[in-house]
Amino acid sequence: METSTLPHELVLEIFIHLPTRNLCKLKALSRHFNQKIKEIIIKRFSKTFCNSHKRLLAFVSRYDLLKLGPTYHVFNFAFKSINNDTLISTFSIDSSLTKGTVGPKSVKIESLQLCSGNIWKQGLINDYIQYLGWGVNVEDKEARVYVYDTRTKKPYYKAYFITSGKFVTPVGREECKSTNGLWSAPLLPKNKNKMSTVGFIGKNKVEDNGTGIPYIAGKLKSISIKSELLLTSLEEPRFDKSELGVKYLLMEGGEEYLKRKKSCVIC
Amino acid sequence: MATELKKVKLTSSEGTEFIIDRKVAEKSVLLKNMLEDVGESDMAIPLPNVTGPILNKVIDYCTHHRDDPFVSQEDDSKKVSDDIDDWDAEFCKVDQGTLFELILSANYLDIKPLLDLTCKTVANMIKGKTPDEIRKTFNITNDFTPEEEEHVRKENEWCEER
Repeated sequence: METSTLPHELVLEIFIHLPTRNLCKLKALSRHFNQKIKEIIIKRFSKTFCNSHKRLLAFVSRYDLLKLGPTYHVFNFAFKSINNDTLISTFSIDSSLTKGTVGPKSVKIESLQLCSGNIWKQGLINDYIQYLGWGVNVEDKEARVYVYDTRTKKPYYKAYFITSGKFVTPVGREECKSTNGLWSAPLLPKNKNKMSTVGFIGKNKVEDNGTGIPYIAGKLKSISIKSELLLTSLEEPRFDKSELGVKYLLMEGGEEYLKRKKSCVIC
Repeated sequence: MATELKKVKLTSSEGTEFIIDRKVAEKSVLLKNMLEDVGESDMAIPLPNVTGPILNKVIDYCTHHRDDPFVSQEDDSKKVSDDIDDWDAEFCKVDQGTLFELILSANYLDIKPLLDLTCKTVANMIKGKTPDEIRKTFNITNDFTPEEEEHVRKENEWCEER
């Protein structure tokens, strides 16, 4: 391409039409463009997520030492804020919602349909995870993060894949005391050299169920995520291809609906 | 009884005169406001920032889209999109210099749909370019220190993943 004499405000008019993924690469152009591109992204993000029905979902799996097998947990987050400088957006668990429900109308999520065909019914959305550390101070967890829109009228919601990775949480009682139970952990990308794009904040508390054996109950409180990554996941919507990936969030009657549509390939 | 269409005279930067329907001219917010201020007049409106060939192209665009509904300045719901219709795509098959001149003219004449179309066309052209190539194309000076630039690149490495 030849060199142009377009004023920079018109160059930005051109950039406004770029998808977020392309736009982010251009943050390295200059300080002026870096700032202006951030402004475009904030505007784009605000339009999409502020006061909207879009929600994030984290599907967390861990190895349970007591059950000697994996357990699965689901957390649902609503938009809270965005940092205008770092462009990190924060989504938190809406404490006003009844356990296991999503969206402004508190629609109950019955279960999840996974890509492997299995239907997940373990526990409630946003429920505590119980740990028995047994001398172990930290625990690995795999998390898969999705976005969906609660306005969908069908008895299932489509969940679009954002990213996945591993995060490490404290599970020991001492760690829990020293931080009042509050902890944070980045979602580590598969490529170790890359920077994390998602972080979790959670809280542990010591519980005693009357058996005299205290245990730790942990819960995610909020998720911080690069707003650009989130926008990209909507601009390039994709389903999770992993066997354990979430395909649908099933609302009341959703399982029946899927059974009736057995012969139909929905995605 | 057929109503006679009102005509408007425009003069390009070289002095070439163009006579067009007022409805076509009013696709430009600048011209629309001028015509409303001036009222009925046979005087040509000088457009010193637009050359004859570019004005000709702009008139082609406005004539083809004369009956399109007005697009509000704030309506940018279709900003990120590849949907350019066939006529518009054909209209934009020009060299880069002409495309940039069309952007400047659409901005000067305040024709939002033409500005969006030409900007969208250029955006499609630069999608695969590196920051270095974009800097060259748009004459942008890199004022980052090497460390700052590296940090920004690192922060946005996720963009390379699919």
